[in-house]
Amino acid sequence: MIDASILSVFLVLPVLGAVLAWILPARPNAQKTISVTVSLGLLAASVLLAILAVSAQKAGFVLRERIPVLSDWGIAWHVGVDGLSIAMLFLSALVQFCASVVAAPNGRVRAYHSLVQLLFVGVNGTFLALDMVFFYVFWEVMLIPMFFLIAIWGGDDRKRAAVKFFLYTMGGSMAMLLAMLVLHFQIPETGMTVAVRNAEVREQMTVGSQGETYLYDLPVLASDSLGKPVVAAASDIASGSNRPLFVPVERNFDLLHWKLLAPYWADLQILGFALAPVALAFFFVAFAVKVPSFPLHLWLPHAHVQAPTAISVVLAGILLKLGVYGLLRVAWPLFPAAALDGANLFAWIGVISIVWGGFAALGQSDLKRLVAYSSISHMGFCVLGIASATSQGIAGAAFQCVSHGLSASLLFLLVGVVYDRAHHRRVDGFGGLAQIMPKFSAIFLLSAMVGAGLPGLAGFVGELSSLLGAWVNPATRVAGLVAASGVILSAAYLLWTVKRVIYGTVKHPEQRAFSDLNTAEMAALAPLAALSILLGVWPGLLQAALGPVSASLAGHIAWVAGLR
Amino acid sequence: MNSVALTLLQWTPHELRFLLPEILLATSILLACVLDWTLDVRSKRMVVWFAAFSAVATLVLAVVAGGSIGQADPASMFSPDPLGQFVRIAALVGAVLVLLAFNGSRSIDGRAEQGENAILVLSVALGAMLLASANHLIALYLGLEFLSLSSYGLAGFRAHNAKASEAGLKYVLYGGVASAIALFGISHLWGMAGTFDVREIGVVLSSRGGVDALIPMFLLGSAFAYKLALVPFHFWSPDVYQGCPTASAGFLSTVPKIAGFAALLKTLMALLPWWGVVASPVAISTFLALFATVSILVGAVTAGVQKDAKRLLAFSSTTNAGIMLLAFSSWITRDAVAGVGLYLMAYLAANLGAFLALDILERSAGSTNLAALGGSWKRHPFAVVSLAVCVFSLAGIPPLAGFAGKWAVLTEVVRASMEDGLGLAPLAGVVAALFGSVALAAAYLKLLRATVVDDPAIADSATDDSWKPAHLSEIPLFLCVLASILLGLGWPLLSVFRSRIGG
Repeated sequence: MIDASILSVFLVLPVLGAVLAWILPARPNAQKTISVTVSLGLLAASVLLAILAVSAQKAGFVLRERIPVLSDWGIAWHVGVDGLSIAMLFLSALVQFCASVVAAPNGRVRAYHSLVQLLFVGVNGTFLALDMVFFYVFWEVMLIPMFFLIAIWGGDDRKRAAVKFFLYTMGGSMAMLLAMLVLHFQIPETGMTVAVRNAEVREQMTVGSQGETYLYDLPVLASDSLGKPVVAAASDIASGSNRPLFVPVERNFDLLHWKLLAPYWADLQILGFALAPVALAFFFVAFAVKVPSFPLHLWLPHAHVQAPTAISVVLAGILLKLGVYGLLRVAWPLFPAAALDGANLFAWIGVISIVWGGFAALGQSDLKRLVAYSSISHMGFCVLGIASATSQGIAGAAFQCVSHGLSASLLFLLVGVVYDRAHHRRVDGFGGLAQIMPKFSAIFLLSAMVGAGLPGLAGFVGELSSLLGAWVNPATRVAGLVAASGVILSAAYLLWTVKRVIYGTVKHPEQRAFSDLNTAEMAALAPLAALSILLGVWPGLLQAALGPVSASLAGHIAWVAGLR
Repeated sequence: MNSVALTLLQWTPHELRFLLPEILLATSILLACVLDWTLDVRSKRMVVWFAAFSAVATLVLAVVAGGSIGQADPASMFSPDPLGQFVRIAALVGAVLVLLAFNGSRSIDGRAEQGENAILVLSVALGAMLLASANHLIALYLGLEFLSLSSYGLAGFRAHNAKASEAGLKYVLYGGVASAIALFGISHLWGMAGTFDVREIGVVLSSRGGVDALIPMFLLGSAFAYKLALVPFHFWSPDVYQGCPTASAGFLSTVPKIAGFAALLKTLMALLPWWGVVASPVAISTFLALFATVSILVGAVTAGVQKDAKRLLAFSSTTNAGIMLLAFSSWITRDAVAGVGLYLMAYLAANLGAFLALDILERSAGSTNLAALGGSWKRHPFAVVSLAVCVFSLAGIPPLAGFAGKWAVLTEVVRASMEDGLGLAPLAGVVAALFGSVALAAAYLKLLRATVVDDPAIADSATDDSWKPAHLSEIPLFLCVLASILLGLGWPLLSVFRSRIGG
């Protein structure tokens, strides 16, 4: 039987890859083979997890382990995967595969491939971590490799772009660090007993050898007639009895314990100020920088334009998703009441990103900048969906992460292809490529349609579901209506770009010499394109993993908000 | 002076037992001097070897003698306690590393006077050890002076170099004023309390409720602030580091600071009863937090506009010292002291490592100017990777050592601010420390941009591509890098510190 130790594969494999890529003599193909092999291994592992998740059909963690490592400080090595993190791990492995196949660093090959592997240690670690300290550590681990990847192998203005990326992200992380320290010390040193939602108990319950029940490794207590907690019997919970259930929570950094404390955070006051909205704001800033959400998006176009193709793919394909993942794993579960109170505000932040990013994309003359702004616009739907705090909205946000991961990776890879042939990326510098590069043009059209949210393709499902979620929650309904215009905007700028680049007459005769996609480019593009279609016609495949998690989170939010 | 003489008389061979490492080191310094005079120019390198060997021997003795720590009479002038033992080990490890680096490198500026340099390094280490185990204001002053005088020599070593002479002179003048101020404060304290023993001073002053003792305290405190290069006493450090041979600057920026922190900590702890009388805990921790905040922010922002790598590291040291001072605003709890211990270890490894790496880069680039360091990654890949690790550790990026130290310090300050009713100033200090870290990271990125990312400047005649460092000089650098990585994973050390030096 598969146990939680398989999760360490997601960290050990890239570390091994990094070491191997560094110690072997520099030969581009040797290092590339290592990167591709590692990503294939991770892909296999994540498919295995995905099978587990889809077959389990539950909201809870499919695999999870918790080993106290620094108990004096309440820190534990706590990792686990549910449907959401498995979807993200799969996307991460897929993006790593595509980025490795097309990787073409101009020099310093060993360093390049080592740094890419280290970057994915951080990415995968963040998706696995269920302890706030390790979440933070992995979050920061991504900074250093990404800085060098942009600063060394990027375009002309790469150094400024890399510094901008580093400082924006680090500023956000500092907000996260401060918020987590303050929260930690709000838990009484002696620990506390909190009431839990019975649905949560059923999802996360395990039964010990003595028949006692556990929730996230914590014994579950039921209260007796005098309100005094007693250890609950397994039968009590299995029978669905509605006796209030209590669990003890220690002073620690455990995200799952912190989630149980959501009602406690909601009531907490410091110096007469409610803590929850402030802490939520700090976490939101940390994650919104990564998403990136208006007004913290300024680093993204710059970083994208300067980064080499493969790194742009990684940035758009997976790094941005970490922001959404952070909102779903940390910010919203911990402060559901404050999040609901601010639903309107957060929804508008999402909508401004959608509309602003869309208009900015319309005005771009550089293909990469255009795709970068379209990323800001598309990721806005994630923020909108999460802000609605409804089951549909959350599922839509998570789905949009995957579909945007596919469409943005496709578009950046394709821009990389034309840049490789033409050595420029000006939209008006192309025309009629369909006559010259039919395979390229077909995939370009498909990617644009995925991005524009055409029904039958992956992009449609996430956007529709986010908008539905926004409609369901009255507080975000107006914002949702405005956001729907973003769909038209994205169709406008993407299809206009398609028209100018691949249709019409060949404007530059020298482009007739361009070769169509080669094998490596096909190998990177084909799986992404295939998956975009597959998820469009069979969204249930992904929804099976995301649905229960979203429903559970929405239920949690509603429960905590209802306690007031 | 009567009490000084009395204290001296009370010394017995039994008491001297606790100072055996210091005695051994002092003897080695004298022997090294004799060796340096007698050897001819070509074999001066023997002196460095001898110095390194005696530092290792002292280290072994200090570790072996560690068992008797705490048995020494706390009323004697020097009584090594666990904190003193910590400084002993740190100072000797630092001395061994920097001596190895000297030995592997070519002579400084083509001169063969490494012997004297090595002797000065040992003296600085001895001064640091004495300062950290002083219990008595006269002993404290002697330790401070011993440390400072040797440091002046080390800083102004390249006597024919204008920058070095400036560094030496500035250091002497600034240091002279600081130590005169300290002495003035000490004399006042003696006048008020009638004793030099810091513990007794704390008791006497608290019983007489001496608010007036705040003035000599501030005078004494400014001498510490000078040693630690805290704002506004930090102006000497960039000039001194810049003029100093780079490896020596690494040593000067770490070991004396560790000793300074230990002595400050000891003094503050001994005076705790008095603090309680003169002001409320909130007032004192607010004062310390504000003082720390100013150093953190000024250091971080000023580091960002530097054009020389050594000046940049000097200002970053000010920020790091500020963060450690911030720990004291938690009313010097056990966890805060342990956190500062871990921070100091991380700082020793990372800062010394950064300077040692820079030393290697400087020899090819001809200077430590950021513009001259372009393309260093091509010439010295190992030194550049090491520099990156050390600098990221200094910036507090996990999972490196600097993060563990920062984590330990900041968590304790947040806890104290929330739970011990010390007001919001320490928490505000934490906010400043976090955003100061971002500003400082911007400065560090400039350094890394120059060394790791930039290509060599075209037709740069000053660079010497053929020079390769001796492998021996890369060993101390490697050890620093290893420590910067392992200490980041070695948080359990914190519990060791907590039980030992947390007092």
